[in-house]
Amino acid sequence: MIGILVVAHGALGEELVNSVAMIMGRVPLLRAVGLKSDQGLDDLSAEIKKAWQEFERGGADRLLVLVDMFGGSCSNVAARLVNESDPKSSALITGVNLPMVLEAAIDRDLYTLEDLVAKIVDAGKKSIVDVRAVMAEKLR
Amino acid sequence: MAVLLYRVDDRLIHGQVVVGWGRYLKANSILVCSDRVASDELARTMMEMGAPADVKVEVMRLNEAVAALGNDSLQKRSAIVLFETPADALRLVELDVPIKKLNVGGMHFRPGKRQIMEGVSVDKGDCAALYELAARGVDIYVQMVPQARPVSLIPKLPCDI
Repeated sequence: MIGILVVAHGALGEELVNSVAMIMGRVPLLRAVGLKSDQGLDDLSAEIKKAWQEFERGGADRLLVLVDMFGGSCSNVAARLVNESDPKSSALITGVNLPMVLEAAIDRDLYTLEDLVAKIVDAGKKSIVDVRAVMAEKLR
Repeated sequence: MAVLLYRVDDRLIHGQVVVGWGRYLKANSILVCSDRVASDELARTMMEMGAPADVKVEVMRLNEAVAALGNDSLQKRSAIVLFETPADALRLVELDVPIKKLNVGGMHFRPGKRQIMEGVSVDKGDCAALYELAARGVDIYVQMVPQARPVSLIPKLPCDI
């Protein structure tokens, strides 16, 4: 199974995980690590590694990391860790939002890690909608 | 129409329904049965927008829904059928729609209602409709999302409303 780790600034990741639970109940092998304002990046890196190890103990054989912002600290730290591992066993996607975490949680058993990444990127992009424009179209 | 789930949810189409139940049950269609929504173009549009592109959303008045649910030509549909209130579900049962099990998802608190469980608040009208549904043999259970444990609703109803 693919473990899903949300890494984000502050409590954003934890709350995304809580919001997933609100919509689809508690999900196994899904958790968050937050970069706190007084925390160093080595510490964050250690926390991600620790979460990864816990996932492996829980039965995960691959890791999907979802981070908040491309180029941010979380992304940079996670990129380094993912880069050190086999491409088949880990992946990193930036710009995480709630639909992306939901997509990851729902579909992870159905796809290879590579295909799952494509699905999640697509779901994330499609979730950004100019509502007024869509409504104008529908109500025309 | 093959109905996978009959559900009372005052938010109708939202995350728990689309993502929670829809994906879990592999529904390809959602039928919103509500006279109120059917006659409100904006509410109707919002319902249609809220579902993924591969899920067909239809909003119908209650009497239209009876005909659609009985229509064999829609057999290929795997549908989730939504009601805003237990009273609307009861209307369909009274019109001979064979509802055996009724999922209660969201009956949120409003002034005049009493909360009896997390996410479930009832007033006198709700209780009357729920008791009548039960009397007609409908198994009514509260379950917000598929991963939650279903809880039988009737024993939770207050006897002093």
